[in-house]
Amino acid sequence: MTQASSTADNKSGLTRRQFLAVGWTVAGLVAVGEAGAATLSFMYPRLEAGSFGGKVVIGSAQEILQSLSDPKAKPVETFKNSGRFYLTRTQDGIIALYRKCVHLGCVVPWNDGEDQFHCPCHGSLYDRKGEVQGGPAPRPLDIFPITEEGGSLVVDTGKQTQRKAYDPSQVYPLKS
Amino acid sequence: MFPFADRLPFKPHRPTVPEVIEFLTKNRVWRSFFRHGYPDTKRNQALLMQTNVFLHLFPVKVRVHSLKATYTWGLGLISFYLFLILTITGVLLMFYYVPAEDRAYQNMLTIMTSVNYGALMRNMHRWAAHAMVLGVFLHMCRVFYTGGHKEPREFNWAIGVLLLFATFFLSFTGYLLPWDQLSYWAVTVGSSLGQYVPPEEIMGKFSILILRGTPEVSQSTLVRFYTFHIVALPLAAAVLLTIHFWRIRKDGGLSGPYGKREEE
Amino acid sequence: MSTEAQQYEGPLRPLLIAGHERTLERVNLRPDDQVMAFPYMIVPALAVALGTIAVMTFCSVVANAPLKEIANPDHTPNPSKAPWYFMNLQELLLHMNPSLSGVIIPTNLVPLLLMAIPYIDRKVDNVGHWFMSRKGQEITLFTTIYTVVVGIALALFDSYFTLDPLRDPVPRSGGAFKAVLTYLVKFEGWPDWLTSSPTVGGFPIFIYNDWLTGWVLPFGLVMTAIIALVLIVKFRWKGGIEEVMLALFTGFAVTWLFTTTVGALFRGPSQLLGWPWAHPNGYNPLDDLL
Repeated sequence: MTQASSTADNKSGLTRRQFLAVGWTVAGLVAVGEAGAATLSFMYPRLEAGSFGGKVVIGSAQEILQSLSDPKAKPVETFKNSGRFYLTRTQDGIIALYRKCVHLGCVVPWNDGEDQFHCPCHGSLYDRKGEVQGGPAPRPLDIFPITEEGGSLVVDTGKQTQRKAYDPSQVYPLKS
Repeated sequence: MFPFADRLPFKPHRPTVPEVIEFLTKNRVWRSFFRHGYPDTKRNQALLMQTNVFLHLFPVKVRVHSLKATYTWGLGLISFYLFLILTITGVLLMFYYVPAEDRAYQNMLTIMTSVNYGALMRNMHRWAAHAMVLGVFLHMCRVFYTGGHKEPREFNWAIGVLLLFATFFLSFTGYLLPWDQLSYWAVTVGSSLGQYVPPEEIMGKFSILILRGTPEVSQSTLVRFYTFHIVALPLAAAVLLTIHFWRIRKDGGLSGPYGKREEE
Repeated sequence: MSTEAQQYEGPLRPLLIAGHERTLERVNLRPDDQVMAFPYMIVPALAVALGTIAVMTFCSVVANAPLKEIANPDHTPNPSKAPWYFMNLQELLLHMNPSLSGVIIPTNLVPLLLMAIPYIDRKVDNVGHWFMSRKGQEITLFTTIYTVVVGIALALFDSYFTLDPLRDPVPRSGGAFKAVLTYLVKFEGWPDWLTSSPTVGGFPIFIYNDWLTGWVLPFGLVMTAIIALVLIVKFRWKGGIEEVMLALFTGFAVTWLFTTTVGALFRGPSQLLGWPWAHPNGYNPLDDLL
């Protein structure tokens, strides 16, 4: 009888009991959602500075430009000292390409015979500029910015840059 | 036989095997463990099922049809046994394996070459893992083609689908642990799929970092996969398995041709 | 010998009720007859346990689990393969946009649709009969053949229509569609707005962008094959919902096995198709399988 009267009083048509049940259920779901979000947040790593992700010195500008003076020169593998990129020559200068295929993360080796990067996993192909020549890759190879600091060229592996296509602003320009 | 038999105050007696058995099983210690007699009577057979916490998941009586080998092919049972084999061999392997970038592979070599029965345990863990993936898949096919997924077993079928995916992820997380070229690149390719979680711009990098802990597969990835492999996923699978088994009973045992058919 | 033992049909029948076969033949078994779980269920279950342990021990003694050289993040082997049960996924990745084939289909569509089956198909008349009925057996067999044929056709379609066989020998997400569309666009008679649309990477943008060639067309092609299958079951066998579900599940299971086989055995270096025994560079697909 109290139920009937409380229903009548209540415009939303909820009894007190129903209201509490819905309230607790919603509160419970919110709590579970919060716990889930907190767990995901806990699992989300804070990347350390240094090692891969930091700045890598690759040598004096003179040396680098010399070793890549030929436009047909083989890309230089710079995998030592936490470097994980290739230095290649384009018509505008030198570009630092992240070595991972943008498709599914395999290391893309340079293929001398084909004169292009050829991914062993799913066969993506890239030219010297990192632009896609074939295969499933959805965009060109990612790049790192090259700067000159005190006579040495420095690649900042913390600033991995995705791009839609090659353009000359991505390179360290040739001075000659 | 008994040298001083005539001088003993009692008559020596060599006990027969049934007498030994009776001595061992008809005393208060044994009876405190097992509260039933030898299961050669219906009463004792029923008690055996009811007084054992593991067997208690099963009913005392089962339908004859559900025991037909050509109906179930024992696939669910085999998958469960493989899960047990994997648990036991896995726990043993943990005594020698450390999930560290610079030690994992050396540990694998140690297990394969200088631990007693190490190679056997590792081989068994690997082969049983493959067999379990196949077993669970075939079990799903068997259930479907005999109509075992239909009402009232819909919920248990859903649990089964979750168990299939738990099996995949258990196997895949374990795949990284040897830290050889096969595992490293298989997991690189597999976890790279995270970058395509839509919407890619927001979820891509997030999923990769949650999965791997770093942009590339590394020490953090190894620890994450190890933890999922030895704790999180087995626990989840065990809980799901318990529900799965309990539900078989609650849904009236295995499916069978008990309804009426339109034709024949 | 109790009547229960005579009704028992399980695998240990010869052991438990030796010599009573003739009696059994005369017993008219009703399907709902029950026997004690012990021993008629427990003893065979223990026998299966022994068999499983024996087989696993035998395999482990005769064959060592693979262990290749230590992981080298600087060098990706060619080809790099997933474990065999994910080869179906890797195979799918070659043909569609990765969001579709790598995330949406395997982690959303497949589990949800599998779980939905018994909620859609609620007919229980044929439960307990393998493949439901004579009709069901025919449908299962037909679907198996149909799926394999369609699968082979799709895999070959994606392998042989490429933009440039020299530069682009490998299937890519929607690559065959890109190739065919590029070829078609070169025809005269297309409206200007189509052929003169902005280009990216040398292709008109609607070909380059994956939404058409990586999402709509591959998914549409697969959906067409699925709808055709449903129609065949409907009209050829006058199938109801349970026959349709039977065909769809068979299609899924066969696709799973088919793509696993193709990915694991028929794809060699650079993911090119080839006979398992004749891959280039002496590559043996069995090395990467387990």
